Amino acid sequence: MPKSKLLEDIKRQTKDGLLRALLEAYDPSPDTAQEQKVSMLVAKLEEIFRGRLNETTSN
Amino acid sequence: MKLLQIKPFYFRAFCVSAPVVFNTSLTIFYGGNGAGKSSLSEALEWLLYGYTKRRRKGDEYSKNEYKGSYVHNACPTGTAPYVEAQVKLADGSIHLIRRTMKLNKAGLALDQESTLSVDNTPVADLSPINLAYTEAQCPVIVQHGIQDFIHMRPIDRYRVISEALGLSELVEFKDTLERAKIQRRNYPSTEVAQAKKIVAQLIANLKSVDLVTLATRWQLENYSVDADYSLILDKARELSGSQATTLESALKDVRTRQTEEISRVFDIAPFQPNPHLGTTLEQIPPLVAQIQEADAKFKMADATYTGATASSYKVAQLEFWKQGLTLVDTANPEQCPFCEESTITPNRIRGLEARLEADDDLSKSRRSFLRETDSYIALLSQAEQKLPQLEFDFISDKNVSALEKLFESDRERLQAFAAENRQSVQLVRSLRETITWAKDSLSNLKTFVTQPNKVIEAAVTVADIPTRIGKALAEATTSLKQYNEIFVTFKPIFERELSDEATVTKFTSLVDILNNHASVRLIADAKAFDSEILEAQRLVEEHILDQQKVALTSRETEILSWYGLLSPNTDVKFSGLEPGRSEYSLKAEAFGKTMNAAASLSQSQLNCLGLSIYIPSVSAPDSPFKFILFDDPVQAMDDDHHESFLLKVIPELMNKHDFEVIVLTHLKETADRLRDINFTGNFTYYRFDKLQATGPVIVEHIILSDDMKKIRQLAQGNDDNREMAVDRIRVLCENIMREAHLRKKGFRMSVASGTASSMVPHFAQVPSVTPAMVTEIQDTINWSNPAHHTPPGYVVPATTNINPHIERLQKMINDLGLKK
Repeated sequence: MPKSKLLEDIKRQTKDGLLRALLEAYDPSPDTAQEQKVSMLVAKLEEIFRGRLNETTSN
Repeated sequence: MKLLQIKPFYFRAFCVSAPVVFNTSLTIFYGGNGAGKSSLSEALEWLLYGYTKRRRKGDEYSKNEYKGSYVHNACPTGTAPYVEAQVKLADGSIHLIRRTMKLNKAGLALDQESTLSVDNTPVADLSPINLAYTEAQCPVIVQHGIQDFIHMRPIDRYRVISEALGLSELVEFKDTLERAKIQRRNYPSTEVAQAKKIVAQLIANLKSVDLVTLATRWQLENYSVDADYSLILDKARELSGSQATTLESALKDVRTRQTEEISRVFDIAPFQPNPHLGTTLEQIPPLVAQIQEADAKFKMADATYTGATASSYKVAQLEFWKQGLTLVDTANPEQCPFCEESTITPNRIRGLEARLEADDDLSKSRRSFLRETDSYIALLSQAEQKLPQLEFDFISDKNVSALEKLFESDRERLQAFAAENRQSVQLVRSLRETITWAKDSLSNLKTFVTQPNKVIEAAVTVADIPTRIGKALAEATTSLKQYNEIFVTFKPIFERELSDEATVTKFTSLVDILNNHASVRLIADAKAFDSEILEAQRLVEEHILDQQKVALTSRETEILSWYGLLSPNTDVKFSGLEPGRSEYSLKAEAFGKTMNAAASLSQSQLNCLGLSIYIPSVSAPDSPFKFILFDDPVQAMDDDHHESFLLKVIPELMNKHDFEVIVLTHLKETADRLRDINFTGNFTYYRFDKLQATGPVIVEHIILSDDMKKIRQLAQGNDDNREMAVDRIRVLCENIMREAHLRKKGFRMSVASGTASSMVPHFAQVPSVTPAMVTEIQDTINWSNPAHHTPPGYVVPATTNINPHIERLQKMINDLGLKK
């Protein structure tokens, strides 16, 4: 299945860095279980949050 | 993309079978329930998407129940089920697409995992043949999908319509993000969870240092960390006297202060005399007077009672006599019940009665004595209950040592203070003991009441109760007053120099708050990050709303157009869609008024609405599909909608949109009506025979006698009817040749979709077909052909000219045994 054009569009158009990062991490494939898709986004959110914390700490 | 043929292999109800061929613009499948029709539609859906909506929905209920349901139960181990289709693309190229299930190590099919190939070359998707499509464009429209649409909740219908508008992946992303957010909130990382616990404790700490407003804000997860800690810093300076300007130095100062406070903790409260001692002591003299009064009454009652007992018999003896008189046998009144001698003379009875009468006075004085004793005890209990107001803790040597450490210069005064405390405590205890002794003694006295001699002895011991209580009370009162005076002089010093647990708690709370600054910052950051996620969600929702508007601008007209075809001339009808964040407003109109469609439209109209939403998705300009498969599309429709679907929607798809239409139905009426409507057109009519263990049995459904019957009726009619009869004779020729080929040779004619004339040479090869039959059928084809093309100047044959051809074909049907 090709990736949805609409998902690509919103990724290209949005100025929101978090949203863009989430869209990049997101796998729209119907072959991927919903739970797995959720887990991937959770992991991405955690990674971004942790990155920010580390940045704050080092500053 | 058009579908030329499909071959499911050990998929669902199919085992090993010949491909199902689609070589006409309309293909009708008729079959009863459970004949395998849906296996065919699901095979096509699975081939295109790798899953079916039915299975996906089933998995939501129970993955276990649906596990393996794509695989035929006779599939041998080591054999991979597949679905293969031959398709023709817009550029005319023909390709073979196959989706094959993966096998596990044991050789069993993994029905949720598959591989795809095009022209026997493995591919990840169909992009190598420039085929791109979305779930919304799925050309398989199944009844359960339409039924779901009718009965679903608005939020679910939102998803379906979003899917139909091509927005499903956006909506799914939004939903996935929402679930990710919730999961993250419910299962935070260890440090965030730990920080939350800490901050919950800090909220209590804030309250203990009187930062209640801030505590409330934190409770509401409203953090402004820098400003909040500025307030905390102010509070730290206020409480500790620190001049610190940073949290770190404030923490240091507060810690120092906390240590000092801990070292000065001495709770003086337990040693403090009653602050209302004066008032309490004023209540004592009246109480003493009452005790004296009670004592006087007691003594009088005691004297009366003990006096009465001196002139009377022992109580037990009196009781013995009284009992004896009740036991006298009335039949023999002179016999003593104890010695059984005739000793009870009237004189003796009179004597006994006189003595018992004297005993009545004794009883009365005894009751009076007991009453006064009880009153006396009650009054003493009342006095005893006042004692806690005079009591306080005894200062131990350890307490004195602790105080001496804090007040080194006041050691002598402290010793005097302690001595006064101890004396007071001791004297109050003595008072309590005296009262307790008095109560116990009086209670003890009561137990001897039936033994007057002992009462007389015991009464002596309680004779000095008022004196002893009065003395103890006087001593305690004097000492209490002295202790109270010395305590009052010490009190300001204590208040100034001593600390208590509450003060220490404040500093401990401040230390905690200052020390856990990082936890608050972490929670605030997590909270801010949650807000960012919310903002991302909002942006996606906005984007979806925008896309809905765009999609609806073009699609709404189409949806309404299809709905108009399906449901013309109704008073209540669907009138449009409005975008929304979690549901679409489906509008209906009735007699000029707008209302909610879901609640107002009939089941039949909702079925039409479902179809009107699904069909334009498949026929959308960006959809690559030029075929559409309906699996039981008209279940919920009434006759008018049913007729509109067959008579308007399917022709519109075939003629205007150049679609290849495949209809699967369990309604013979629907299948036959569809065949009749398209009788002169290009169609194939298949029948699913009863499902076998080896899979569905699909045969071409030709009933020549039915066709002949209709032709005979038309041949008797007007010009239009006769022209149709002639055209149908041509189609009948084709069907006779197809049917003869299938039945006599056992397989379909290879040019089954060609022109009638092109079939004749193949017909000639069929066993039992004579050269005369070949000549005759060619002649009838040549004769009937113009009715199909109606060239200028074409004259419709008269009934008398048509009948010979009818009879010729009827004879041919009979001779070839094709009647049934």
